[in-house]
Amino acid sequence: MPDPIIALRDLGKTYTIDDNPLTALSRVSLDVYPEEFVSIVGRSGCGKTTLVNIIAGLLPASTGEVRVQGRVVAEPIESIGMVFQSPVLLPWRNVIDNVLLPIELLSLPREPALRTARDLLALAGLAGFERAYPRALSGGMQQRVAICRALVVDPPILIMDEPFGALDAMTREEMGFELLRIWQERRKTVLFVTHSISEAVFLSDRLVVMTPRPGRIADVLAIDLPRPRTTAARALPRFGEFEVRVRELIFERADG
Amino acid sequence: MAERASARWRLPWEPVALAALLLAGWELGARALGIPEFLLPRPVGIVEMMATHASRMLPHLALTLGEALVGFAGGVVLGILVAFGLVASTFLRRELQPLIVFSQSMPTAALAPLLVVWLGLGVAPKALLALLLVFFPVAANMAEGLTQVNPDMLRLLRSYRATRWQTFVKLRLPHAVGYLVAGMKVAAPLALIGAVVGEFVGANRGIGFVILDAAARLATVEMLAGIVYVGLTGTALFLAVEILERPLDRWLAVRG
Repeated sequence: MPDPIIALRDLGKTYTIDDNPLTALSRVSLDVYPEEFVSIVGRSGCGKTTLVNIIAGLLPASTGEVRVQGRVVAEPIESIGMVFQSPVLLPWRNVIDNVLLPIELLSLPREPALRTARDLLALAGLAGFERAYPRALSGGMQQRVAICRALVVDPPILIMDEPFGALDAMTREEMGFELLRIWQERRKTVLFVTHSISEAVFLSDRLVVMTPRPGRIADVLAIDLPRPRTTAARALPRFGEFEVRVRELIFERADG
Repeated sequence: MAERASARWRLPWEPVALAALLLAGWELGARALGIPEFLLPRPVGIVEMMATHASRMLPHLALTLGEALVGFAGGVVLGILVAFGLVASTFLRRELQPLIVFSQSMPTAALAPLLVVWLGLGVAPKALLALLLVFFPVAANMAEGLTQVNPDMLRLLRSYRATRWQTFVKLRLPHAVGYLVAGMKVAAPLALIGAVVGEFVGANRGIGFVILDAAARLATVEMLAGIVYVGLTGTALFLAVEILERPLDRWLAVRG
């Protein structure tokens, strides 16, 4: 086995709200390997977003440590691209300038990046929309722009925090396919947070199930369904078994 | 949204029709009841007066408009600077806010005599009154535009370690453009009111002087003619800012 690209050791996060400590994360340990597609599922309040914010260096952990490519994460790093639930495109910038925003922020040369940006937009099916403004695009298209933006500095890791949560069910399924296509073409490590169990099973190599109060990992399932995944994969008995297993893990504690 | 951009400007006939109906009712009612014209001037008489006295009133109006525009420009600049200050420093926010609220709670009209004592009968006290009325809505809107930025946008910029300056130039400032224009739209007619109030207190020129002079002679028709001139000019100022707003609609998209 290669070295993990992301290594979490005993991560914990405690917030203090009105002098009461609230444990958002407790003893989370996980290794993610290069080019793996790992999903995190769990109900609201199980600390998923807290976890990815810590991994991305946006939030300090209370205990434990995060290593990305062997180095301890203390602040945001270029090797991670982020995609959020809302596309957060800047409405006064056209598509290409939105994609190039990270290049500007990191003061990287614009010319080579311009080509990368065009290639990425073409890969995401957005060729010809470079000069369009975000509000002229559908929600799904805006989110594709956001994915291109996250990939423009060519980070080995993509962290996606419920990226399709605001899309309608059909667009969402379509975006899943798109993401797998982009992932296979660009060979990224993806950490994907979602509420949707079937989405997580469909996309992932491994699936991390989290439970709340305190947020911790209940189990990690290896989804050994064949790739590339097609719609037919959803009809496989194994697919249904994985879904049931995840539901059991999530609702077990809630029922008891 | 796309429709809004392509929608052509048209004459707002509804308010015109409503105004025509009210004016007709006023004219006919006053005639039928035989109310003397110096007690209740009639629309036809007012319009006649506006036409016949145009060559006398318009230069006065132009002066007032000039005072208003100087005050408007100064108020917008001051408003923007105050907003920068409020946003840049918690200290300024704490120290300035009560002062600003206090300055806005003072009756500006009551301040006018003092300004005339200080600055004489010229343009300065009128422009200063206009400025005092203008800077507040501009500063309040601008400050809101600079601060009410989508938290996910901030998270995105932070994930690329954006500096405070980058966040300001690439996010906060463009985000505030729409808010600024909204503040300017509210402020434009206020500038005119400030100038007229200044003229009431001490002036021998300007449309405010014409109105006050007519009032002293109980020339009510003449008085109302002047007031209508002011109203039309204020409306024109508002529309002028709205025209300025049109090419900026990409920036306005963020305004809630």
